[in-house]
Amino acid sequence: MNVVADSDGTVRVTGLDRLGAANCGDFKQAVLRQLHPGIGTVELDCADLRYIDSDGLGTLMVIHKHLVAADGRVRLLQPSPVLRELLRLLRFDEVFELRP
Amino acid sequence: MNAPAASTLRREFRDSLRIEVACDFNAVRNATLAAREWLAEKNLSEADLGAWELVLVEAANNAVKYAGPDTRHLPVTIELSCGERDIEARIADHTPGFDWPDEVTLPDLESETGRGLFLIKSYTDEAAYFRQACQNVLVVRRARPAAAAKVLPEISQLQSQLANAEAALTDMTAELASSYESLVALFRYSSELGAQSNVKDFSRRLLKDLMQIAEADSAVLRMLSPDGKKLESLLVVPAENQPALSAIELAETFSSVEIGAARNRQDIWFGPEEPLAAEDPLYAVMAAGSGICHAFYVADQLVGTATLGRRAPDRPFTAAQVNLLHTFIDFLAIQIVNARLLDERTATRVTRRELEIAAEIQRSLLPAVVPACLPFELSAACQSALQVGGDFYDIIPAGDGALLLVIADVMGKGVPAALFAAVLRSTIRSMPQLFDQPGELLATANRTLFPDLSRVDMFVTAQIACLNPRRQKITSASAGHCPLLVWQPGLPEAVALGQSGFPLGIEPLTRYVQTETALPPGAIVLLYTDGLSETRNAAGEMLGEKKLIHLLAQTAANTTDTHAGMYFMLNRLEDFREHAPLTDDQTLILIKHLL
Repeated sequence: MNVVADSDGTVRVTGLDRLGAANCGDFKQAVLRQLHPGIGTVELDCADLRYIDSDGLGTLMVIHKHLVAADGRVRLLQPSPVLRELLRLLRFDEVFELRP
Repeated sequence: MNAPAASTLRREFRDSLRIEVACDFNAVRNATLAAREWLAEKNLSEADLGAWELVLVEAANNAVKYAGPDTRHLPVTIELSCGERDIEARIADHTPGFDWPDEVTLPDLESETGRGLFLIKSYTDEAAYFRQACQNVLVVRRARPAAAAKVLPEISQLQSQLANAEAALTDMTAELASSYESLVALFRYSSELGAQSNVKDFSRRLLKDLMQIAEADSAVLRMLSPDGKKLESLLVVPAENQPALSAIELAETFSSVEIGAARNRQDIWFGPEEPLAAEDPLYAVMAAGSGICHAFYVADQLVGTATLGRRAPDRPFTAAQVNLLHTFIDFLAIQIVNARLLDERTATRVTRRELEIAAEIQRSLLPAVVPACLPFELSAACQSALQVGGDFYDIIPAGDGALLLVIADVMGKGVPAALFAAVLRSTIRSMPQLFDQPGELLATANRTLFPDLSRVDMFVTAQIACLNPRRQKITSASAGHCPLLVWQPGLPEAVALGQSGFPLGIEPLTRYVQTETALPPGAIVLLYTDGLSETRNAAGEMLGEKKLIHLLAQTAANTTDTHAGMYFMLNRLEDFREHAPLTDDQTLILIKHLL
């Protein structure tokens, strides 16, 4: 997993293959460390994400709450149909930006 | 019986899969991947596989999240069974459990937790949660797509399934054998319940059987002490080369494993991850291995603790073995309570028999008839309390028409008091030469009995009087006993007469002053024990000597003979205590000058 804060105010997360109870703590710490002033978006590339559970989704909500203060948001790139369905079921599609 | 695995362990039964998962999120992840692979062989769609994976993860993660520190050693079990129409999963956890809500709803959108149950419910067709004593089970079902169910398996798949079935059959045979062993042992113990009371022997055999079936290497059994403050070591198995374990106080500051299990009513596990503290008493027996301590109760009362240990630290006991421990120890607890009830019944029987013997002795000491002593008339009675005391009286012809009157109260109750009364009676009867000198008679009896009485810290109060009809006088002496009460016609009240010396058995060289009192016609004399003057009413108020003196005057005024007078007094005393049973013997001799 790579977590990089770019100059355009976006923290980009790539290479994440799973996000669940076992690793969501590490994920959260890695992202929150990058939330410096000026960061408005956290973009998670879901191309490699094969598995996410309610703890992983809860962690995305924690990050979302940190970003809301700076008028930012969480963006999910390339969510699979299964992930889209899951996000819709939990109404997370109303909170996170999904692309495409 | 199979040993548990700290990591994931797989066993397949025909078209079912059982996975025991260590209580850890990573192990859950690996187990659900294994489950997904197995389900993939059933030709499920990617969506179905994703749904099942998520359901199993959510259920197993909850089992890990909410497991207590004492149950984290127990594996989470995932069982999958694949039928033609649906797939069922059973996830067993060792958490305190929860009540499955009637309606599972989503939490607030911005909530960070609380979506697990919603996902389980959403991705399954049926879901139910069963709370049980040892574990809870979540059962979920999801329909299989019809097409997938009808796919015929390949021959290689069938061969693989056959091989798995044979392996499963071997496992089941082993489990059945151990279950058979357990059942045989339990039936044997059932037949022994109530038949014998040697708790230690029974416990030793039970523990050895339990150790064999549960594959334990050592066991420690402790029982609550009779005062309820300590856990005392009853058995250490094997006993060879094992140190004796001292008792441990329940109120001890250091919480050993056994104290912790007793205080918290929870099984406590120990092993490599939570080793025994060096100061824990179990450390001397099970230091390097692993084990479980179980506290057992009957009727909500702590009875003791049982601990099983294994030398191999990486092989904790399985849930089935823990169930065995509970079952066997429940039997033991019942046997212990039975033994205690039997002991109590025997003790009650012995006490009752002892009281019967004491009453028999007391009755045998009393004179069969009261000799005549005209012009005096005498009546005497000894009423025994429920707990027979040491009262007795004696009336002995003393020559020249005189009578020696003895009334005594041996300190204490039961057989010992009755035996000393018998000895005093014989001692007095063996000194007829002193019958006319009650003071000297008491002094001699005291010297004779002192060694025996002082050895057992007992003493006797006694009043001895010689009634001489010819001289119409009574000569008396008292060894710490109630005074002689004399009422004479024309006097408003009776008077208490005589000086008293020490009771017999206190001081070997005591001298007793004797008092001579004239008894004119109509005079009434009362010799009595403190059971009369110390009669109490329901409010606890004592009658006292003053009221007894008044009662004697009333008796003189209301009765004409001693027989009627005696019952007049006893009836008034019964009225005073409001007909409550006697708490002490009541003994009296009533004398009246008839002329």
